[in-house]
Amino acid sequence: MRNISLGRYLPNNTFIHRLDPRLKFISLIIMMSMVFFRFPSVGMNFIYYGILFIVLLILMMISKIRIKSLFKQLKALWFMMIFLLIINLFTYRVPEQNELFTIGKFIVYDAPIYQTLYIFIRLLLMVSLTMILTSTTRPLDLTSAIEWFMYPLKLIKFPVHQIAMTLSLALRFIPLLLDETGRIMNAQESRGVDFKGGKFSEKIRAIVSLMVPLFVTAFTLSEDLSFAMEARGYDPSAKRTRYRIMKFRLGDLFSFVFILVCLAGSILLLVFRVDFAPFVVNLFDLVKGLFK
Amino acid sequence: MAVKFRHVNFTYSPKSPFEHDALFDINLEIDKNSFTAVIGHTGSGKSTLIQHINALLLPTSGVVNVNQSLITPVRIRKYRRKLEKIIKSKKKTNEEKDIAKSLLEESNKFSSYKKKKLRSEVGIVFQFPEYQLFEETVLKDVSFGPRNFGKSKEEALNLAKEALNRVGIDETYYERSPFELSGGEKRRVAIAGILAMKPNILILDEPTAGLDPLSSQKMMELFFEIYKQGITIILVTHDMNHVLNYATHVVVMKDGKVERKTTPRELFANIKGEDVISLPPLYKFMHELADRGCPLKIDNINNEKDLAKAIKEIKGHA
Amino acid sequence: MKNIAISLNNVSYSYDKKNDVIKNVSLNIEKGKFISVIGHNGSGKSTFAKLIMGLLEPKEGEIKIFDLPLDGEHISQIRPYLGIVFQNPDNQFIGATVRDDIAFGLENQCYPQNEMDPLIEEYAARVGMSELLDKEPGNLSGGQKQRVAIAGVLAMHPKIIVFDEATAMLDPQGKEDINKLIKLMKKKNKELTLITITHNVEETQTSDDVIVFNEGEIYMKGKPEEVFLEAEKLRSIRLDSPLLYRIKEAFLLEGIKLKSKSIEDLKEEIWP
Repeated sequence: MRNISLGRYLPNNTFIHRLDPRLKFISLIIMMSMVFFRFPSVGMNFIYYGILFIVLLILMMISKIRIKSLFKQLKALWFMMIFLLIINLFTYRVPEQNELFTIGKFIVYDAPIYQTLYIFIRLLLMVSLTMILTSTTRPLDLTSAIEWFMYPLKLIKFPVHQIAMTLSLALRFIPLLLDETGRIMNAQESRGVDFKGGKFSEKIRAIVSLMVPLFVTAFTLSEDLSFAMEARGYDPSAKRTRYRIMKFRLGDLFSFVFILVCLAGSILLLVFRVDFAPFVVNLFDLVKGLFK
Repeated sequence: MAVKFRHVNFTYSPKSPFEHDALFDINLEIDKNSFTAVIGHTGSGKSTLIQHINALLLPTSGVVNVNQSLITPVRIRKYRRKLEKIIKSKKKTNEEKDIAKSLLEESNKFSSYKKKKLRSEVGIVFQFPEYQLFEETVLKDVSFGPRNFGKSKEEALNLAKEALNRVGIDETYYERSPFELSGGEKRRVAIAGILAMKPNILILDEPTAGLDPLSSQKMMELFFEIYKQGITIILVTHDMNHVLNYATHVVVMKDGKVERKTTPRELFANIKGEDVISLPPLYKFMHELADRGCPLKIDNINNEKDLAKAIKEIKGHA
Repeated sequence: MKNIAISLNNVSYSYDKKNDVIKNVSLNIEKGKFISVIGHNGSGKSTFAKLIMGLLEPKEGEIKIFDLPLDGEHISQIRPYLGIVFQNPDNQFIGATVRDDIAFGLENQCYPQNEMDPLIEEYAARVGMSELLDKEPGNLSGGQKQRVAIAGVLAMHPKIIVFDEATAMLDPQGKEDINKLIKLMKKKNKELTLITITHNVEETQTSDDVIVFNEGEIYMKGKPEEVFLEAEKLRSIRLDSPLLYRIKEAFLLEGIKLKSKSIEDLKEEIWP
């Protein structure tokens, strides 16, 4: 059960790994929003996505992420996409659509196909972005980043530190609880429980036989943990220093500027309704011409 | 023979970054009606080994024969074909072919295991079994096992009561929640839960871990009684006193292999400062006395009283 | 009373307000001593540990640490004097890695960040975990995790350390490692007051005093030699005595009185 490495942090020492987690977090949000920019022409949308994808591929290469693992994540999506395509073919209608071909009496338009493709590509981009973040950032560093962003909430007496501590403890203990789940399942299977098959009532019993002991374990863990933390002087309301501190460095500054430039560039393209599609088509013709 | 391992290899998470070889070419027979102790360092493969006996884990290669039913890596027919392929293959060594031939012979002789039947015949008490308790009452929890194996509500309750009686839990506990009990009581209820299934092979993984000396002794005496009634007992333990006092056979595991199978007497008589296991304190003491030249006959001494008598005799003659 | 580290005066405690788990216990533990507390499961040993650590508040009676009352007013003053290692290696491992776990106590005591690394490295070295500073608990054995717990406690420089069945969940190798470490700690620091709570009597032999709990009360108290010679009394409360005393008792039945105070001496005495 331990093999389900949550978020799959890959311990390498790349440039991206060394970036401040707060910067990475903000960059994620900015780039996620860029994924949703929508240009008027179909061609431009695809070109834009293409550029984004190339940028992400470069980032993945820098982070030493195997591209193969990205596609593994998407396996589950294919099915959903085909399903979505069929729904869209029947229901998605926009004024600018064009007929492509007909199957008997049914007309297949281009807009639903493009729409499905857009959704697919956006998902691909979002998954890639998230993968880059989680592969290069330790879960605990992520929670430190989130805690930092939540600081303004302290003004309204929101328990920022306590939430962050709870979050980091939860992350710390997920592998342990996963192991425990495996152990409980072994014990109950040895008593005749079938976690895979069985009637509905048997399935309920099976889940109860897993959940109750798991909760008991979790509660015992919390109690023991709170004694241990208190014994080591922990006081959630008192001041405490931090061992791991986040420092903004030059690399973070450059990266941030880069992200902002990308964002600004994309906004400009959008506002001025720039369309590279004709340019790209001409380029293709030129190249074709060269080869003839 | 209750259990037989033949050329069993086991790898956790094959073909993944977490791949980990745990068992290497295990060939082992556990005799019927024996009290077999399995000892070895943490990480020597003991837990992996016992989980094969009730098919919680399937061998990566090789077969496990339990009560004349075969546990194979894949479905038996597919497995036989696979073995035949190996035998005919030109790329395999003669050694591999011989192994495949003997495994094929075994798989032709016996039929495949049936999961439910196997799990009702082989009971495993895991370490700290208290965590498996989940029902609202003690009685319900202990009848959970029998119910899963097809017993009627009545039958299951009777089996539960019988099992609870054996572990020394009386009727005043029946309707109580298992969660209000003390640690020792919870442990006994959990064990009753396995005994109620009436297994003919009982596997115990460090059943006395964390118990005080007296409770530990009482528990081992219970298991010994069960053994005397004809149940095959397999005990995974670090406690050498248990091995000495109760086991009829000992299997020593090291680094995923079976180092040897022998009797407790033979094991302790031939050990001197071996790092695989540590001797019971008394035996260690006697070995050290013998090292100083004392002519002790260690085999005949079972406890401190015997030692005192023996020394008195030796000194009396001197 | 300056040399009394811990004093209990008529202390009682109950978890469920009905049954007392600790009944009217009075006790003085001198500074710098190595005390073993033994008793069957449920005799109140662990509750005793939590009480003297200030993790539980007594229902009745008073506890004093170095003459300061252990109450809400003084707890933050007393807390730095106390350290405890619990039984379950996983449930007290707070940090994501060995480093982070040792740092936890330092963070709570407001050490400046730049002073933490040298301390972490020093205490990791003391417990033999220098090579494993960046490991996660999932990749450590029980014994290794307990060593990290000890490092974490030592880094806070307590004056009293309690080991609450710290070896109960470990395999023989782990038990041996931790017991060796505890002996070393005591040797290196004569001022340290050490209390080990266990039901494994073999671990108690080098202690200065043994306290025997039974049903929430102190059943017997004294030097190991005094306590363990009462083998019958111990057996009546489900405890065993160490090998040394069992052998002495057996020889006494044969009319031979042995004088040795350790297993090593005993070997010499029986077969010179």
